[in-house]
Amino acid sequence: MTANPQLWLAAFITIGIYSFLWKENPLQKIGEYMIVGMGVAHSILMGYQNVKSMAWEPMVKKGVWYMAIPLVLGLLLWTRWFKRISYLSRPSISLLVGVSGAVALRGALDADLFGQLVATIRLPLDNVYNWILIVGVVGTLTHFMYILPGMGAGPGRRNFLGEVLQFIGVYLGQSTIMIALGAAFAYTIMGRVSVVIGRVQFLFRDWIYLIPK
Amino acid sequence: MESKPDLPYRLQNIDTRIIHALILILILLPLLRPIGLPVQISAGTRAAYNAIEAIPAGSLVLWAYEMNAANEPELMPAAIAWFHHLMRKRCKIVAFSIYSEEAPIFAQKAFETVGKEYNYVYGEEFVVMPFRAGMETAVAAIGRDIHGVFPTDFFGNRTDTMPLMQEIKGLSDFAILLKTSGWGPDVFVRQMVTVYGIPMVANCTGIVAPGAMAYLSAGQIQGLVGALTGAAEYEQLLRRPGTAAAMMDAQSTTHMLTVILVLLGNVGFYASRRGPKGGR
Repeated sequence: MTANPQLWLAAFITIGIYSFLWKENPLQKIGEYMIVGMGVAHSILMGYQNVKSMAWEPMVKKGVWYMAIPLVLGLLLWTRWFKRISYLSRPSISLLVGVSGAVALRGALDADLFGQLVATIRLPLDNVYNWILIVGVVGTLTHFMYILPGMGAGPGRRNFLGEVLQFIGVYLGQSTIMIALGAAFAYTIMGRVSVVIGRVQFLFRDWIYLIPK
Repeated sequence: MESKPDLPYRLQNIDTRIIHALILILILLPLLRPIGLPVQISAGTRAAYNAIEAIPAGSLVLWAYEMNAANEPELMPAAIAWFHHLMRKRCKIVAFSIYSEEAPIFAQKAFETVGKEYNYVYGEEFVVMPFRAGMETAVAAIGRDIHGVFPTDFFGNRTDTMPLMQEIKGLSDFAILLKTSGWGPDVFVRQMVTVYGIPMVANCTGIVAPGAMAYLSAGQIQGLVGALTGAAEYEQLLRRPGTAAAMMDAQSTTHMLTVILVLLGNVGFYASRRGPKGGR
């Protein structure tokens, strides 16, 4: 068993948090609050250092006067706490949303839309996996077509194209979506189990040396 | 007197404490006595290995190291494997983070673990940058002017005096962009791959791996090491079994239990629908 007090503390918090699986208890609450507290404290410190190194020091030490603009805009964000002057935070929020949106848009069309589209169109149909991919994409896209299936249909009038699209959307589209969600959920389980394995390894290997290193 | 619940009901309502105890046992046993179940190499992991293998020795590598306490068990094994791979080739690594405040601590920890083995010198062959807020805008800023965004490293040392940073003029000097995070590669694809054409390889948590595969299929990223399985595969390709390989047996046994529990729950559900109470 280790003599390192840091590992003892980590083990205490780990066991405390996992004791929640039995039932809610003070040990779990202590661990939970410690983790949240440490996380928030670390974030505040990082934020402070960011402001200090990126804006305050360049302005004060190097005379980069325009660094006062982000500092003032940042300060204005805090006015949201005071109802009477909360409107002063709007320019800062607008700028944050506007800049973030504009920056994201720069590469979004190419990366998330055209890039994906072109890659799917160019897919060589020389193996079964690519066929599945094409069928899945077409099915899923058809599933989200809401106008065509109903168009032209009415009493005594059938819309064959619409019925075909509805069939593809319902059977292929929904199945593809369900398979994709199943895969994502399975991966989620894997991720969660990895975390548990990591903690079990820590307790039994690093803390009490039951598992050899 | 209250009647005892029937079997279908009990199958659907197994006490979660029993499940937790079973999970603990099924994790602990393979860790104590490894089974050595085979690991099949996926196309994404092989592509990631090949992409890193293809960069010339001594290349500059930019690494978005977005690790935190919650995803460390899942991401650290692959990160350690990448460190070994890059350090074997004496690549020069610049690690940074824009999503995870505590990431630099984990990057430094991994560097200290592996760097010693290869006699890596901090500042000459590896540097860890401090966390920068701004998310996507921060990524765009790093692409535009890496020196401007990081005037100092994580420890407060000036970066313009570091031999490693003096070699870098812009993003085009890097041979590859690596990304270790619990998020998809989308932001980096948008701001770095698409804009500057830098090749990218991603390592992500299991939750986002299926979404990230779309970027791999489209050729927007050159490789994908997904979750702990990917890490175990990478260790195998590297011929250096590490923590991921040891963890995979425990993963497999736990997954078997999950499958069995899902089956039992469904059997219970359908049996209850067919039974007298379910009333079909």
